[in-house]
Amino acid sequence: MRRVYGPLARFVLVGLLAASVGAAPAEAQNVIKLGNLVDLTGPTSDQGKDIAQGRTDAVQYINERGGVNGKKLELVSVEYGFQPPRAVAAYKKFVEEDKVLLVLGYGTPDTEALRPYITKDKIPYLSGSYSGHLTDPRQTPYNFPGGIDYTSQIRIFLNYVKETWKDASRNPRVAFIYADNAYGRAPIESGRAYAKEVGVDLVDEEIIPTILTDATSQLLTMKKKDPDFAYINTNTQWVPVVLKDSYKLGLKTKYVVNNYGLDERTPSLAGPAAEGVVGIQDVAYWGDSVPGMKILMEFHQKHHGTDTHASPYMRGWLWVIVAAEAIKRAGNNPTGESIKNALESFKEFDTWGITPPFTYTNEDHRPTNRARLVMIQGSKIVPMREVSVDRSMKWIGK
Amino acid sequence: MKCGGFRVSYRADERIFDTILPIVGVVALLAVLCVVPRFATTYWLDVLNRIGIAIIGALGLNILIGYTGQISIGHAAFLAVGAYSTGILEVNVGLPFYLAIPLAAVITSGFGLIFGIPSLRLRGLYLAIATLAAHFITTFVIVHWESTTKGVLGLMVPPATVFGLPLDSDARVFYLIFALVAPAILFTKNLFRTKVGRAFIAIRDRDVAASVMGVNLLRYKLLAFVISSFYAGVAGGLMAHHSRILFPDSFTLLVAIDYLAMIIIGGLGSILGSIFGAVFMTVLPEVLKLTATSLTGVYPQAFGLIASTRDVVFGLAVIFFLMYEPQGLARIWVRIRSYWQLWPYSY
Repeated sequence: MRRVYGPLARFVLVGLLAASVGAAPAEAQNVIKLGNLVDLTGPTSDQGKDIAQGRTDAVQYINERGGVNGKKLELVSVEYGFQPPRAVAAYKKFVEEDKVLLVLGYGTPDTEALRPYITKDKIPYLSGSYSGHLTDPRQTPYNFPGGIDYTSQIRIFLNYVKETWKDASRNPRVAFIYADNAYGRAPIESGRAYAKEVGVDLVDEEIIPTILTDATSQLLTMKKKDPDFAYINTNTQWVPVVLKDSYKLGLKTKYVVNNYGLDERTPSLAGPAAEGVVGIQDVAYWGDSVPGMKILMEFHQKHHGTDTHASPYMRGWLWVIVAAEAIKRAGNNPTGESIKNALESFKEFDTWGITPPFTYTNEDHRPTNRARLVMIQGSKIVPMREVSVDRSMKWIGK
Repeated sequence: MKCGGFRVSYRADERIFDTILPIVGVVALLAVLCVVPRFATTYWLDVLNRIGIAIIGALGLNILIGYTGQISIGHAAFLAVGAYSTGILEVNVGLPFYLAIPLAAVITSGFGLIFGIPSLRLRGLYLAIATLAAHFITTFVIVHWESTTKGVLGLMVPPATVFGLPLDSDARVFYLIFALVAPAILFTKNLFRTKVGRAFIAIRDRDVAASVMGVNLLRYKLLAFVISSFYAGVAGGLMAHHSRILFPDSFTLLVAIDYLAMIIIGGLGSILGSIFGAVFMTVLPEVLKLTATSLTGVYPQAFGLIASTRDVVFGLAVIFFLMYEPQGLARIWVRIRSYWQLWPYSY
C-alpha cells in the first residue's frame, strides 16, 4: 500500500504546493494587473505564440522603464485553446480573483461571448478580435478592437475589386471563403450588404472548418460559380491550404486575404500558390522601417535573439502600448471606467509607427480606417498602396 | 462488532448505509454545501458548478457504459441537445426553467432512443462508431440551423427566475445545480436496487445469457440509452443556465472523451466513481492552470512552454492514475476505507 500511495501522495502534494504558491499573492498596491488571454494550443496557436511573446516582452520593456505612473504592470496569463467556455471561466477569474483593470483579449468567439459580462463589470477589453460587432459604444462600451475592424477590411476588399475591375460589360463576381466560427463569420453580413451597394456580384460563399486540412470540395463548388475575386477570412495557418488547393485545381480566382490570414510566413507556406495573392496589412511586418521597430528588435535581440517573429509579435507589443498609454492617462488611481474614458480620448495616437495612428471616440470604437494592401510577388510581400474606407456610422457595430 | 458484510434480512440487504455514521456524514456534507456559496469566490463556485453538472452527466454515462456495457461516444451530442433544447424552449417558447429543463431532458431521451437503436445490432467498438454518428449529426444541425440555434454566434440564455429572483450569479445557480445533483445520485443508487438495474448489469456481463434468462434486450438496452440521455439532458440544461451562452464549440468530441475519461478514471459501474471522476476531471485542469499562471508570474518568458506542457501533464496524470489503479478512484477509495474499517485484518 505504501508503495502505491507514496509517489501518489508526493505528486498531489507538489501540485497543491505549487498552486498555493501562486494563490498567496503579494497584494502590492503598486502593481496593475492585466488579464491576458492567449491561444497556444488551438487553431490559431501559430499567431498566439507570437502574440503572447509580444505582450510579455512589451510589459517587461515598460516595467524596466519604471512601469506606468510608477506602478508595474503584471500580466495574469491564461491559455485557453481558442475554446470560448475556457475563456469565459478565465474571465470570471480575472474579474473576481485577480481584480484586473483591463483584459487583453484574443479571439472573436470568446470576445463576442463576453460582451454582456464586460459591459456589466466595466472592464475595458482590448481585443485581438477586430470584429465589427465590437465597434459600437452604444452596444459594447467597454470593447476596444485593437486594429482595423473586419467589416472595414471586407469593404476595402470590395473597393479594391471595384477599382481593379476593367471589364465594363458585366459586374465583377466575388466569393467569400470564411472559417466556421464567429471570427470567420464576423464581417460576412456587412460584406453582403456592401457588395450590393457598390455593385459587385456576390456569387458564392464557402464555409471552411476552423481547422482546415482540405479545401478541395469547397473550391470545386466555388469553381462552378467562377468568381473573379475571393476574400479569405481565416487564419494564417489555414490560408495556405486554401491557396494550395486552389492552385492544384487550377482556379483563376484572385484572392484577397484579411489581416489575420496573411503574414510573413505565407509565401513560404503556400509556395507558388501564393503568387499574386493580395493581403490587407494592419500592422508592421518584422523588420519594416517604422520608428518602433528598432525598440522591438533591440529587445528581441537582447532577450531571445535566436527565435524568429512575424507580425503577430508586433500586435502583442501594440496592444500593450495602447493599454499602457490608456492607464497612464487614467491617472494615479485607475479604474476600469477611467481607463475606458482614457481610451476614448485617443486622437491620432502614435503607436510607435507600428500601425496607422489610433483614434477611439465615445461614439466610434474603430481605432483606424486605414490599412495597406500588399501583394505576394516572387515569394516576397511587396507593399502596394495605402487604402482607407470612410468612417461611415452606417457600419458601426455591424 | 460486525465483520465484513453481515446481513440478516432482505431489508437490511437493500439498505444504502449500514450504520449511522455515513448518514451523519452525508447530512453534514449537505449542510456544508448549503453554506459554501456564502464564502467561496465566484471562481471556485464556477468550478463547483461545473463539477455538479459533470456529476450528473457522468452518472448518466456510467449507467450506459459502466452498468449496461453499451459503449457510447455520443454523450456530448446529448448534452448539446439538452442545453440547446433548454435554451430554445426558454428563448423562443418562453417556458420557465422548471418546465424547460425537464422537457429538454425528455427531448434528449427521445434522441437517445433513436441513436440507441444501433445498440440492438452492434456491440463494443462498432457501437461506439455508430454513436459517433449521433455526435456529428447533432453538431451539424446545431451549427447550421442558425435561425433557431444561432449557430456559431452563440445562443444566449436568460437567467432562470425563482419567485422573481434571477439566478444570474454562480452562487445562485449553485443551488439549482446541487438541488438536482442530489436526486440524480439517489435515483441512480435506487435504480440499481431494482429489477431494471439488475437487468442492465446482466446485459453488461453477458447479454446473450441475459436474453436467454428472459431479459428483454430491446427494451432494456433502449431504456439504458433513454435514461442515460435523460441525465445528459438535465446536465445540458444546467449547462445552459450556468454559462448562459451556448456555443457548438462547447460540445466537441473532446467533451465526450472527457466524460469517458471521467467514468474510467472514477470507476466504471460505480456511483462514487462517477462523482470522483467528475471532480478529478474538472479540478485537475484548474490546478494545472493555477500552477501555470503562478509559475508564469515568476517566469513570464516561460509562459509559452508552461502552457503547452499543461496538456502533457494532464495526460500523464490520467495515465498515472490508471496505472496505479485500473479500476479507478472509487476502488482506491474502497481500499482506503477497507484499510481503516478492517484494520488490522485487511481481508
